Amino acid sequence: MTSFASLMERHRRRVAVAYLGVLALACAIVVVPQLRAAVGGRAARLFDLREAALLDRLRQAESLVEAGDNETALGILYDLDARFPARTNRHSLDRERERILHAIGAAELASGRKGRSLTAYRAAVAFDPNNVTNHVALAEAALALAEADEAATHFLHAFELYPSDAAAVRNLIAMRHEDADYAGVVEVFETYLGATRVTELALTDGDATVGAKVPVDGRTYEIRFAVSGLDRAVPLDVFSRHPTLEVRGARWESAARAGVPGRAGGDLSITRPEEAKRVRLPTDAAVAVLDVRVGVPIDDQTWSLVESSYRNLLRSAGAAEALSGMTVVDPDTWLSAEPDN
Amino acid sequence: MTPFDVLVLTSPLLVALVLASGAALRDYAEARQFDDWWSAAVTLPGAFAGHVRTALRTPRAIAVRQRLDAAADDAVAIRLSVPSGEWDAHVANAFAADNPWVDALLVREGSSREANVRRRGDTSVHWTTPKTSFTLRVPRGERVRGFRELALSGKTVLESHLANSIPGELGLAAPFSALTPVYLNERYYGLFRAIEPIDESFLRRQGRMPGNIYRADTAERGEYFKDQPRNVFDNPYIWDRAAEGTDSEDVARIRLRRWIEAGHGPTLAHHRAFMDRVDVETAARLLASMLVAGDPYHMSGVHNQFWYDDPSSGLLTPLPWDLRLLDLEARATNPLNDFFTTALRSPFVMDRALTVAREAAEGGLMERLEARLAEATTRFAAHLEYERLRRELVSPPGEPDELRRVLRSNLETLATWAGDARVGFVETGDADSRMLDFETRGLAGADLVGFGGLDGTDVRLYLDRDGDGLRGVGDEPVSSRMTDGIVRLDEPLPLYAGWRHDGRHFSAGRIHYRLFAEGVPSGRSLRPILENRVTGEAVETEPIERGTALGDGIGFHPWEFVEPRGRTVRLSGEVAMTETLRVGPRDTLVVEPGTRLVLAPDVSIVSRGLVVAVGTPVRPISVLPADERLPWGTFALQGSGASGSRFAHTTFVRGGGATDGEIEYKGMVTIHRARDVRFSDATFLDNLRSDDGLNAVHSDVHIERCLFRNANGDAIDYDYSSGTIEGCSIEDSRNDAIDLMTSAPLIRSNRLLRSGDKGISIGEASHPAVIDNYIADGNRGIEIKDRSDPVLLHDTIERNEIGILSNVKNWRYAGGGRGLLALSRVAANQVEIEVDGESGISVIASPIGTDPVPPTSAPEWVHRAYGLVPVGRPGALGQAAVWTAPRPPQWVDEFGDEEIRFYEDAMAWDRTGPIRLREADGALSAEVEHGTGAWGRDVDWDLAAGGALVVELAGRHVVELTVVLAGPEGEATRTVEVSDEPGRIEIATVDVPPGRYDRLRFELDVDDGAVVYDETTGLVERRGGRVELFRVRLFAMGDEG
Repeated sequence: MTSFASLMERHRRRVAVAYLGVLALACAIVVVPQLRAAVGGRAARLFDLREAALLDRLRQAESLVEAGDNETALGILYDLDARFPARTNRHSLDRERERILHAIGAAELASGRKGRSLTAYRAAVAFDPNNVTNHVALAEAALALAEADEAATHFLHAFELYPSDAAAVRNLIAMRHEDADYAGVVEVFETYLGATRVTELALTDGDATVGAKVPVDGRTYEIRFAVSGLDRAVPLDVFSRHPTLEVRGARWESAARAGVPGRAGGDLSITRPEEAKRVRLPTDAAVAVLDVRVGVPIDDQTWSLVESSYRNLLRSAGAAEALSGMTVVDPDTWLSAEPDN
Repeated sequence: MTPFDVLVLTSPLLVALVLASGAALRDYAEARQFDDWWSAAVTLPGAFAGHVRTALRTPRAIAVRQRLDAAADDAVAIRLSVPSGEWDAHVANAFAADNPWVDALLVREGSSREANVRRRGDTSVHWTTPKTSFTLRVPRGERVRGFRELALSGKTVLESHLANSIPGELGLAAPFSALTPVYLNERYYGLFRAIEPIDESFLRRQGRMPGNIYRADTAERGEYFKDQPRNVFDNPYIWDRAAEGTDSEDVARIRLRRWIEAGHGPTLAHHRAFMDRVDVETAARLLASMLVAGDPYHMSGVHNQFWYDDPSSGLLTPLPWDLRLLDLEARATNPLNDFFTTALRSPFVMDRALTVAREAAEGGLMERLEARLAEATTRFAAHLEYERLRRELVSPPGEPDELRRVLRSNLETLATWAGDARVGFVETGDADSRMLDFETRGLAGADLVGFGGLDGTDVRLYLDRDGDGLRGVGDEPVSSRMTDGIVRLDEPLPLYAGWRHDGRHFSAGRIHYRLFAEGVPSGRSLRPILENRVTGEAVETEPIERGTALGDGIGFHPWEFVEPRGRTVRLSGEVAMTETLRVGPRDTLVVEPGTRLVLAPDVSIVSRGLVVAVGTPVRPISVLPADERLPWGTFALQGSGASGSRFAHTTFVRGGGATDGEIEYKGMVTIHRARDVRFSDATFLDNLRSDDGLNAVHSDVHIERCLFRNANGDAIDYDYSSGTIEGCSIEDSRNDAIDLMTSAPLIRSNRLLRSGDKGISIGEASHPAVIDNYIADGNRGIEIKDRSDPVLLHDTIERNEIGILSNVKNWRYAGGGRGLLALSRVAANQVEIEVDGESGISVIASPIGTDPVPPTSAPEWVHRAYGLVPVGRPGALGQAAVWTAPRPPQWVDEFGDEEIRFYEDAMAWDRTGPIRLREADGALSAEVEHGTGAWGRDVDWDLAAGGALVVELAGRHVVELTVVLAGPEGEATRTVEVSDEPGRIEIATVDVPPGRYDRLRFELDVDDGAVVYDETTGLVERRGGRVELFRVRLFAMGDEG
């Protein structure tokens, strides 16, 4: 202490100058915007780096779970869970926290630790009970662990939140069918069939794209797209993210022309979206008219359960009627029919 | 100088730098937890600079803050006391997982009352600044500034207040908004915007029937539904209800889904189904408000959506919420929501919106908004200055000059749009048939008024209604006549403008209109006469080159919207009806005398047009069930098209109410939103299933000499309605003979017998005149509830279980019933009059129970006010025989009845001496701790024949109250005895001699020795004297009254 005091005493002038220099630098940082921005930017980078490190660790853990190294993954994931900043679903990293919990659930499930797995999935549901995926994940884990009641409860929660959720619909139908609850199967199916859903359809006439919404209900709709202003015959293209789109017919109409009676028009001979590129809209076209249908998707296996349920309830006619609104697809296609978020 | 000296000398600077750095790091770390618009704008250098600047302004901020008196007794501010730990842990904690209500006290000048607060808001601007937004709530049955609950937002207070004032200025039902300083624990906390929540109380305050309010407000993290479509107009499953009607959750959801699904459909039928569910006038007014605010975007596809489902019209009404003030011509920050995108597929909403905006601008909108802005900036000058001094740390309030500039700019833009009525025109064809092609190309439409250039020759005009471009049978003739050498259309033909929105901007579309003209002389050309639909200015056409493609093909053509022509439906003889008869708004239904309508179960008659069902005593009309055991539905009049309908000598038997489309009719006979509907000498018998024999909602209905018997619930139910019920006999109703909700009919000379519940139920702020009725043998004669205030005159109420009950029933009205009982007899009831602690009744010259007939007569004003000329001794008890036009008071002052007054000096009343003056809960309350005090207001009354000043009041611990009306020529005074009896309302009449008067004054002397025993504390406390003034009226005498 004495030596420090004597050191300070000996170099007091230098210490004072150094201190004042540091202080002046700090003041310069305050006063000079460029300096302030540079220093502040660097400090902010530390936050970015910390966040990036957390996300890297999460990605690493997810890879480990995928690769089957669950124990290593869990070590990382529990550590992440303990210090992850998102404690409420208002946080900007809320989805990442859900990923941690889902990864823990999956790893514990794979490791055979049933209780811990369900605890993690339940935590995800508690974290955001409005997330349909959290309920489905918990329900699927519960189903895998033979906790049928909990599985049914959370598939039903997911279904009530969003009755077009393919996983919830598929599993609820399968579970109820297994329980010989055919009325329950039909109830779920008819709610799904009648649910409100819509998809975007886009039509490209060479340079420009026009969009329209189409209900996903298996009915055929006439949709009119304004395409006026073409300077040449252009190929037509119809886009939709929805896999069950069918184009059942197409026509074109000309615009009214000043002083010219009537309107021109013609058939475009399209029955499938992919055929659209082969036809060309004439320069005179002002409106393209498409007859489109977007079926309610369902997979073959689920449809067979629904059909047999109708049959067991002596309502085969109901199944036949329902089929007119459906498009039977493979399971992956059904999942891909989920809407944009 | 030692290093220590240097350190000491520079320590303030060092400390400031350390503190600023620490605070900036904390702010930045907090902001990074969120990713909304507010937190995204926070940078570390910015936060640091903000703290440094704020620190440098601290001395000024302290000086400003000292001017803000935390203890002042004013009505402007909200003063809260909340334990600091609770506030910090739960309210001002952005990271708390839960959001509980925290106990608080609302403080004002030494007194306090219980309240609760909790954090509110959807983005970090509400939670991460030193000015946390919160919700304030008081217990049920109480109010703070007129509301049970208020949202207090710290976000852009001045700008938001101004922007959200616009919808109300344009005639929309808009949530209340006011600026208010908030003091927290005796320190100034910040200037906030108080906002009324949208719920059932909001509907009632707006005079709307309780019903569903659908809400979609799911934009931000923690609120939106992950892994579902986020667009609320795509996904009905993420809506909830801010207010619940009578529908179950499932039924309400189905109603909403049907509407949203109609919006998805691509066809005209879908579009019409979607728009037919919407109150288009309100939607247009909302759009006009948004355009004036420059923000058609923030009520977006993911949040700020509130839609009221009006049960009386079946229409969805959009409610304005959270508008911003932006430059209308700036690039959009959000896409236009799907509702307005769909609405723009037809031109009607935008056409109307532009007209509404122009009318508002010409009606002085800018001046009123500027006055509002100036008033706020003057009143809150110090508060705004304080906010500016910490502007980097809190949401900036908005700068008046900039707000004014943006508003002016938006109104100028709208004026430019309104003037942009460009129309192209070309005439082709031969002498026999001309083709007239118009194309609207601007943002405003034009009305085709006629054609010139014909030199006296008449022509025949046709619309190409079917749009095939050819003259054919589907085309509609246009009525016109030749006047002064001009072919004038009987009705101007609207050529609407097309509107487009590319996601970022509005732009003009092109709509083509083709007409055909026949009989145009060879060599003549038609010269169209057009007027701008918005401004009325003449529009010159632009030439169109022959062969040019016309119209842009986007949206639906206005001529596709065909309205059927009116027809007359006649019913006569015996008519068996097995299907519901629907009569359109342009149709007329005539039921001939002697007709018997026999309706199958659940079959109804629903008329949106005029109904004339006038039978005679000899040939009455009957509406009867086909099956005696099962009710038919309803006979409903729906909408203004049914106004003026007449029913006479018509009997309705065993109807049961119905739901038709989206509208529930809860009466055997139901009138929704129609005026001047009359029932004379009609009979209503034995309605089944439904509540009411006759139900009027938002209507004006007159019922004369009718018989109601055996109503299943209420015989007559008026909701938000007016009219008369006169000379009727209403017997054996299972519930009420007459049930009123927010209604003010004249109920005169009826006999109401053996009601299962009330003879007359006067509820939810109803103000009827009940005169010369006989009410007997029921459960309750008359019940007065929830801020209702009837006058009961010359009535006889006897042999009921309770004669008159005045009480609180619905907490949303935060008050009981009041009434005036004059010249009436209340006798032989088991309980004559019962009044709860929050209600009252004034009695004038009325014997109660076994009281003898009072020797005093009623003052003259009582009769004059309600149109009575008494026969015999003036003002004596007994039946008045002569009716005349009512003479309402010349001047009325009422207090706090749904009137929200944040600003004390908005009150015209002032005070002298140690007196506390408050306006709350429907009364002006004057309280004096001890001694005397006075309060008064300036008036300007010139009474040539004198008058009567009528004061309604109650009080406690009052020694003397003197009412003084002073003027240059003298004073009129009266000393009023104020009883301590609970529930008793005094009516004091001051006879005012002829003369001029300029000052009304009340002088109060209270009992200094009044004490109360507090059972909780066991202490005896002194209690001041208080007078509650409910209403002051001046009736002029002589002819002028």
